[in-house]
Amino acid sequence: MPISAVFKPFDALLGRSRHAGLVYHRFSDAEEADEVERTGELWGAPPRNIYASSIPCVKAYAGRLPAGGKGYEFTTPVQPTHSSRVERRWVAGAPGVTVEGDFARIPVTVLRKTAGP
Amino acid sequence: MSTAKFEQVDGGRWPSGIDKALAVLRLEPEELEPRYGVRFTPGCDDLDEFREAALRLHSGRPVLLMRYRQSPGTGTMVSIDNGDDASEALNELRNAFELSPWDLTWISDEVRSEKRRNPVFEWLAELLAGRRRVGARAH
Repeated sequence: MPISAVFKPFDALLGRSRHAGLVYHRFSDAEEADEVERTGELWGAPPRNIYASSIPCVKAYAGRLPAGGKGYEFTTPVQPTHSSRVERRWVAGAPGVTVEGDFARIPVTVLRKTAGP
Repeated sequence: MSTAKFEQVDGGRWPSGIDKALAVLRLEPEELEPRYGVRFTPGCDDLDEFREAALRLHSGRPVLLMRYRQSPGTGTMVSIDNGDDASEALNELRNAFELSPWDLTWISDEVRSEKRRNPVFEWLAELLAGRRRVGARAH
């Protein structure tokens, strides 16, 4: 039995993917999920809080979609630059995070979609 | 007469241009509102809808309390400016809100890594790593 098979149950618990790195998720409609899957890119604008920000970042939640959640799970070779307990951000200018106009973008691979039509 | 330890603000900018997460409070926004007299307002970005309250602590430090609607975690996230000192900010936040350790369910790694620079901790780490012996003296 390969050693990776031993750790597979733990990978699932930690939200790790066998494809690459960690798994993240976003809640979305089918249109966004399909677009991200097709392009292999996830884009993000600057945060829109009371304290304004001018720096764009890609945003997602860590781990797999909760049961019944509509959206998609993805993985990326780019490490998040900002992490809270469950939120993750990839901020423009960090390694692997490219900028186009007012948006940051990272390469992603969609692993699972639950957003239906 | 006591001095206000924070004030709520309706606008402003992060000095560095963006924020970073500092900690997560155990209480939800609707529990923080009556306890501390802060008012949360709704908003949304390209991740999710959220409720937020922008504060300025006594030192002038900007702090944001925020809760994403569909966040898989509970509690209220606290953000500070990306260029701010996380340990100092946490100390001021604890003082302003009279927080006990129980009131915080998550603290940024940045605070934890600064704690590790405590000389006693470093001495113990070196001892455990075998780079130092108990009773050894430098010549």
